[in-house]
Amino acid sequence: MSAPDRLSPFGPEAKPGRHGAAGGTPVLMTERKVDIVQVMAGRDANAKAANLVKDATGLALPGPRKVEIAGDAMAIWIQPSGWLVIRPRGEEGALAKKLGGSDDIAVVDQGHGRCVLRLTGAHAGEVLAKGSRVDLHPRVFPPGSVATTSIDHITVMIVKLDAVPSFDLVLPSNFAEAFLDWLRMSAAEFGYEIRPAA
Amino acid sequence: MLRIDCPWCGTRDEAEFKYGGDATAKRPPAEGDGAAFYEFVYDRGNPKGWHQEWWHHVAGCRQWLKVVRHTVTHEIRSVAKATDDVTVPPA
Ligand SMILES: [Zn+2]
Repeated sequence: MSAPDRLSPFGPEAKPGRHGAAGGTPVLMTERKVDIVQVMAGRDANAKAANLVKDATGLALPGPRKVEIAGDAMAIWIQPSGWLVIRPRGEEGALAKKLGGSDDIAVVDQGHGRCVLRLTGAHAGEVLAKGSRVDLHPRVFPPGSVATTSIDHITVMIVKLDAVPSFDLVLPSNFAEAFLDWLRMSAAEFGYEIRPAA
Repeated sequence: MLRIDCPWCGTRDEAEFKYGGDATAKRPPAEGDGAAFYEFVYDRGNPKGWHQEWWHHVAGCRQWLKVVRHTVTHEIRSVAKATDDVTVPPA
């Protein structure tokens, strides 16, 4: 017998479908089915953490404000000596187990604590800009950038993926439903489509 | 609204930060007497001019930063990491 499907942290309102203004280019919203693991390096242990992550995932650990993307996996810089490693959902806890950790590197599974929503479409930047204090102009926030900030009082990591623009938003799962409420309001004027989780 | 140039995250709005007070207050040794601790916990100046103070980038990189700010004009002269030594301009 297999485990039941995990409930979406975005709640029952996150039903797939087209909403808001009709006619324009909709903003697409997709919950990403991913594993998320936080890696924190102790004093002078950054290089060791980088080797650990490289061996386990093939990803290099990026510097401040940057994200390292390889295929459908990525490593996000979140603070000095702190990163999130994200990749498509596999066996529960397997990524954290594979990363391991040591007495100077903390590895914490965030697969339930945080979640990721992909936002893509010509108006995706405008939708975020209404609630974000971060300058999202491509000149200062090109693809490969990440910024942790506060939107509607919820801490959100904004990862810029490409020039469409597309973003991956990393959220605390317990605020995902509240955040989606705000996002839907912000996106309504452009029209938006909630896609099945992928 | 202050704009604080976090050495880790770049320039961000004050709303992402939490004020942490005087960055020059030094904790007395554990064996220090009660008066020294009272002073450390409660006694603060109310300077008019440059002030060295803690700000916590709580909605960003979560690092404590040392900010040199003018208490009258709100001009920010420098933002440094917590472990950096900073210079404070003369009044
Ligand atoms: Zn910061």
